[in-house]
Amino acid sequence: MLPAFAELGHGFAVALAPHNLFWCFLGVLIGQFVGVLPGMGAMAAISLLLPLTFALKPVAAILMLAGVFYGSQYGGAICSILLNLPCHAPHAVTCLDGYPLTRQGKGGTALAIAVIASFAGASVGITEMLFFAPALTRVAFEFGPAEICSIMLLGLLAGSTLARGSPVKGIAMTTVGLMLGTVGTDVNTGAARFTYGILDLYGGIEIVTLALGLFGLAEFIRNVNRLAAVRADHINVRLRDMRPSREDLRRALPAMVRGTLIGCLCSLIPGTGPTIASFVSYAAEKKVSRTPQRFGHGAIEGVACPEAATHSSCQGDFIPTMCLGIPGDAVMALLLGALMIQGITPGPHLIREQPDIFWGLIASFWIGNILLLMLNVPMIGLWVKLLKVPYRLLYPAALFFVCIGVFSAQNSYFDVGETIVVGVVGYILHRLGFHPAPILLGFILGPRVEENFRRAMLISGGDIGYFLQQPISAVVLCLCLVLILAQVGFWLIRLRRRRAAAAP
Amino acid sequence: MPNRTKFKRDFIAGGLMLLFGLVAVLEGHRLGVGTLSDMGPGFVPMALGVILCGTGLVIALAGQADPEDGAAEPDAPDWRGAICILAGAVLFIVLGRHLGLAAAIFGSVFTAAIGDRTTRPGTALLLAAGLTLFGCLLFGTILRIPIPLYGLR
Repeated sequence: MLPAFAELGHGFAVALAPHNLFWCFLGVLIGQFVGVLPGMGAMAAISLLLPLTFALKPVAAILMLAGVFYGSQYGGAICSILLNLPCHAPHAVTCLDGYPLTRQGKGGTALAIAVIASFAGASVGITEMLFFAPALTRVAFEFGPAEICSIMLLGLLAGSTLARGSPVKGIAMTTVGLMLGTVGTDVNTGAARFTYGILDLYGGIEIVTLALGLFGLAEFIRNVNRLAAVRADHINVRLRDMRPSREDLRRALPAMVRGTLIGCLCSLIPGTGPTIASFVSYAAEKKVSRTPQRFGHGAIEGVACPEAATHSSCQGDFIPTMCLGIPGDAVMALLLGALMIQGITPGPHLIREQPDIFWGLIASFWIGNILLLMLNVPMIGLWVKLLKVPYRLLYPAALFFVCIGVFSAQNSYFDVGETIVVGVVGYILHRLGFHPAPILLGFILGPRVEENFRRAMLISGGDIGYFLQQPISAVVLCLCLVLILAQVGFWLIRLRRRRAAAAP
Repeated sequence: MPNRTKFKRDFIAGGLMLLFGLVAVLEGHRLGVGTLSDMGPGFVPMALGVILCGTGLVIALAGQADPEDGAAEPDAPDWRGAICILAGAVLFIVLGRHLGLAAAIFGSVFTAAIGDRTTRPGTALLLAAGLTLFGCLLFGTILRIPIPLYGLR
């Protein structure tokens, strides 16, 4: 394991270079800022900054975007604990106990525990990446097109069925995303697909327009006049309110350890991102607790364990993204898209060919988390004030950034129009009970699934059974089958239980 | 009592997916599917279209069998907000093309801002003016994006 530390040293040298350090700092600062603002999410922030990164070097670009991602997780905790507003899905669980604590006047303590748990979880998640990533890379070098194709299928299935909402609808959204990925000129044959004679579509759909339409415009339409004005007058957290008592720490520490472990495990299973980790860890914590009745009424463990789980799995999520080039959720897909725009294809070669990016990223996680610790603890009063910015002033400004961001990606008004269409469709899909995140996952992976499927078919001479003849691929396909069967089974059980409940 | 709105919603949702799937199948057919050993450009669209048609049917039928899956009903659309936001984005394109950056920012921000029912016109005006100044300085003067600051075209 010693070589890994030598390379980590190199990573720190990269991440501490003034230029990179500046972008990393800017990333976590923007992430924290956006995370705190009610009604804004990490997805919108990352897609907004995407056009800006076109002008940066790849290392700086990825350090910044990753910083936005985990920075927004820290900021989101403030919003959910103090206002009961979970801006990001993983924090929905933190609200359950965080908000009651605020109402008991212990909001400061809850925030402190959340920050400590986040930092601890993230540190372990980074360490996990440090050890697992090189090992996974060595295995991944053996993968041919059949294996890659099967693993991508597993990733897509897990990403679409394990997320929120109905699994079938998730699969439908992933398929729509895959379809959107085929729009434009086919690289293999030169045929124009789904273009309908519109010249601007020959180059395909831009990732920026898709992301900002789905997570910018559609979100504004959903939230406008819906997000109640925040009554934050009673909230006043100062630094000295944050010191947790010994009793709080005694309760929170074991919860943090359990949460971190669950988060680390979840990050290793493709498709189970921070959201699942936080839900699972909360349920588990409630199970092992000797006083489960306290949960939901301000149990400090209920803040510590989901926060630790969220952050450890956030960092761990980078493992499959960077080593296999297969993102676990939509945020990772977006970061992957940012790398591909820079001309870098993540995959097993990344560590060897682009050591600056890989090790620099890991080192920057630590630096970024320490920066966030410094941003959060002494400056808590400032962030709490930020909570009072009303959404009605926020979204027109955000709309302007969306328009100008999309335009500047390619200097094209057509892309702005495309974003409007995507936004409207995204809103309609949401109304019909679909969650848009898997669209992005499918969109990013689509072209690579097709390419690898094509290669596998070329090698095998058109024999579809080839996927089952390769041992690794066969195992992965079996996992896919298990996943589908489990979902169908759960659905049938739920259906029967509900029928039974409705009958008498 | 079965939940009628949920039932109807899943029916429409499934139908929409079926429609998307059929579009893909048609496009795949037009491009030529080919065979597994010699795939045409339409192979993947065709395959995805078939999958999408299948999921569409499942969504519509499952919604019938399981009318309450516990999912919360989304809020009804807020027409004023939605129209103002979309109009703001459209205005950005129109004004940006013909009147320049300043008008585009001002028009889009002001239009979007009055979509909120509690925002007074004066507040919207101030917000739009402030963002116009900021946007012109940052994007027009410093970053130099290729939209002229002002000027009729």
